[in-house]
Amino acid sequence: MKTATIQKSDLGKAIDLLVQADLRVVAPRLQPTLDGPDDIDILMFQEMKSGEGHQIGEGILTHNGIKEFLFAKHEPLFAYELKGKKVEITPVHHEYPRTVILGVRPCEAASIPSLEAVFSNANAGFEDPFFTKRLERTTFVTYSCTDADASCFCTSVDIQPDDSTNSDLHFTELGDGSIHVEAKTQAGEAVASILEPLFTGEGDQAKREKMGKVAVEKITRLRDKAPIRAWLDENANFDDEMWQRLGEKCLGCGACTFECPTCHCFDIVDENKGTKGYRVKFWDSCQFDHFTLHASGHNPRDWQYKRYRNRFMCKFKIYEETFEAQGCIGCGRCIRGCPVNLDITEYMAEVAHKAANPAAMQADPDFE
Amino acid sequence: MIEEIRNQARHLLENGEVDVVIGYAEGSDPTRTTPIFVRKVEDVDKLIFDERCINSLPLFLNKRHEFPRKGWKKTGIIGKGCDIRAITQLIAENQLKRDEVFIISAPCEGVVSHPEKWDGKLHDGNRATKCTDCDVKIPVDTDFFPVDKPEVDRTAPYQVTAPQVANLMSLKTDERFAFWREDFDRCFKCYACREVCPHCSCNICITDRTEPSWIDPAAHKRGVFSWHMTRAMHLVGRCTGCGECTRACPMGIQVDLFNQRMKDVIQDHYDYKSGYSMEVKPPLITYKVDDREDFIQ
Amino acid sequence: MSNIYQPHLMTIKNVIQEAPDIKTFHLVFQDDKVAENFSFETGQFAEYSAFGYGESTFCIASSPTRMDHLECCFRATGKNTNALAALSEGDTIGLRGPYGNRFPIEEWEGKDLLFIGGGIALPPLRSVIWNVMDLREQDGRYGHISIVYGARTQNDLVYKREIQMWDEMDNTTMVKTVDPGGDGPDWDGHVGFVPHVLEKDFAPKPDNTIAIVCGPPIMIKFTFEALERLGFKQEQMITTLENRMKCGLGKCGRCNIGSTYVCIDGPVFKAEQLAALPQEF
Repeated sequence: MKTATIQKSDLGKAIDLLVQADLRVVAPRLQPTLDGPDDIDILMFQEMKSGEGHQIGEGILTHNGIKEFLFAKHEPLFAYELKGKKVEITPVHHEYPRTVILGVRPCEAASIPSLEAVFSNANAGFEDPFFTKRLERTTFVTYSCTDADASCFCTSVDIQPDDSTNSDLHFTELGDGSIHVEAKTQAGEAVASILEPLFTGEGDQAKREKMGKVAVEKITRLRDKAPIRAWLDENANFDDEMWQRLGEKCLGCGACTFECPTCHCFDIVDENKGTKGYRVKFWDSCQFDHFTLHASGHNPRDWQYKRYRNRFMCKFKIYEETFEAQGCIGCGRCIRGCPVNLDITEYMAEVAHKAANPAAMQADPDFE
Repeated sequence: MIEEIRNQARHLLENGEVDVVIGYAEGSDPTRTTPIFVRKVEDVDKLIFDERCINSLPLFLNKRHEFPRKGWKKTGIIGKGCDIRAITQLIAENQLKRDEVFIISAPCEGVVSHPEKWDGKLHDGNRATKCTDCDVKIPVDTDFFPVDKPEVDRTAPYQVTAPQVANLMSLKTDERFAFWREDFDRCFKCYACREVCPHCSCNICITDRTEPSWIDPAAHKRGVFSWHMTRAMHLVGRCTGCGECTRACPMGIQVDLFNQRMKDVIQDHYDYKSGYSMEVKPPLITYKVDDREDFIQ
Repeated sequence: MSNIYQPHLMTIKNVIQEAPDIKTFHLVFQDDKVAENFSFETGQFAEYSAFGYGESTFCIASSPTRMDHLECCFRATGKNTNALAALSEGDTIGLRGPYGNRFPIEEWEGKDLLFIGGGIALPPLRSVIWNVMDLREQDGRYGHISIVYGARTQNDLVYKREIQMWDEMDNTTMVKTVDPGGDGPDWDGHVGFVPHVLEKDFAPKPDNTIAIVCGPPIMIKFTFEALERLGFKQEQMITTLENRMKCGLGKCGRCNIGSTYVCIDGPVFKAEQLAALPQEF
């Protein structure tokens, strides 16, 4: 497939070319603030009508992710109208514009096949039409990382900072203001041909390989993923004391699940206005206290530590077993975003420690 | 100072006066701290206190999170001035009994607003807004104060109003609404703001009720606005200004600006500051026979 | 691509008040084409909705051998079920399904069958009961059928008329019970909790018998233990679970017990499968 060189300073023009080609462009941008002393940079993927103010390649990760562009935060499934004893169902018109998302980090790109496994392929062939259509019409332009912060841990979950496995078009900075561009799919080739007027060379494979590894040394959070699955597969470990001890401070706020690129839980409710309404699907979280509450009042996950246990198991066992896809992709958003600094890698380390020292599995009798 | 706090914690655990001491410990990286539940004397040395300790710990006294746990007769808790304001308010509202807590004060000169701004010390470039005009550096009521406790004058009106509130109030109403409309576009109803709040203590939050669904759970405009407006009104006269809601928001929405504005309104109308007295009740949740409104008579 | 979240429209043909807060609906498809192509197997469930209120998960309580209408039986306990309970004959509801796995009734051929249920847990069993009874009447492929069923009080028993029919049926034993204190002056059944009555009063022999249990998790646990004491082996025991569900099709992440999604890998579980699950239900 094709490779090329583009200048980082031309990325704004790249967005303009894509907009002119009638594509919907999504790229990272800084949010406007109120200029107070506490303000921090909020980087977010947003629809852009021009290249001005883009932040492609800046920062570690955006606050939101690409998840909302595939699995909508809320969407109407259909409309209904009550007419006496009858009900009329009408489809709701959804827009599926051809979209290009620029500046997706490799860790986040790894979530795409995972979400696809849940919504498009999984479980007796029920295919979510809304997700599938959006995925079909979205092209992902990924961007290698050259930096990492203390919460990144992609290399511990088999992802490299310059991974292009899930890319349509992949950019890697070469360190001199230029970017190596490689098309990985036909969709990527199509975007590359729109950007062709901005290309200044044929790319530099050797430099790209070298620069792609620059971020690896900057990742300080290293964990051993290997023993985790087998440890979780042991039913006896489900009641290990570690869950309560590590999960005690969890508030069940749901921030981690909403920021997580592979979390997919949702709820469905009816929203009415008089005799008309919509059935709406929207994001939900297994961390909420009523998530598994039965009508009888029985709740299989009645304590917060049990809900976090479910989350950890989902990322490191359930996703793999049920959906045959990767769960945790090591982006670190849950660590950065957690108000009480609950750390999923602390769980990983604890499991690895217990797996290596089975005697350490005794329940703590003093804990209550 | 931390050694005195640790000694006090040690003493409380050794003689069984408390079941647990809730404090701060080192976090996932050097810029962060995390809450810790110390039950054993040998863990007391994990307790720390410095300018990174922005977490408000009184949320672990909140019955919404099932704290204090059944069987805990007394909970030790380390609090900065603003945290102790929250504990004071919980007691004023009967959400907590005074004898259920042992309050260990941590005298504080301010905390860093965000971990990414931590560069080894606290300064004007990274101090949290709530700390700039803090008048609770020396808290009101406490069981243990690690240094000699100075006298403090609290008669002046509470000063802190974030510059962001002034910025917003200087806009016209429709401009202000446009700002919030854009800001709330990124809210996805995760409820982190609710869960970190020490005063959101309803066992079943209004937004989780289904018969009827007062607040749409989905994150469209109606669902988002109705949630934040309701929460702001439920906290009027009760919010103690810890700023945790804004800190917890994964999308960085400054939700506590509503609460800050309402704090000014309550100060003007009722001359009331929340969290300064365990006896005086918040004006909007009390009824007095001589209330000026007569519709309830 | 079809909208997997869109329900079929059903007309309520009949409403039966089974117990103080429990109703049965007889449902027919409004679209004849759908009615022609719809099929399900015993054990499967569906999502039923009162439009404007939401969706709830109940089993399909009728048997696949009787397709003139579908049945569901539910307790009015929340937003959607209260709205359903307020509907009457001629009204429209939504039905999405069938979902889930099935009872492997072909594995039971030539055996005796023992059904054990409590309270609102009879409807899932009822579908299988009529299914095997109809097949047995057709070609005798099943042996003796016993049904042990109880509720809190006499009034709370569901399918009262059918309990009577089963009591009078050949090659069938009906053991009905109410909890202590739940018997009225004209009660002619047992008094005692279902697992107790099963073990002490009925004490069935395990030979060549399959036990199908349905009830709340605690009842399933006690009943399995009672059956073991009676000599039943794990491979002779099977149950159907419930869990809080929303989508019913394995995507919303709510009903899982460990890696097992109750809506896809269940709700029917053999005892050995249940024993392998983490204790989170």
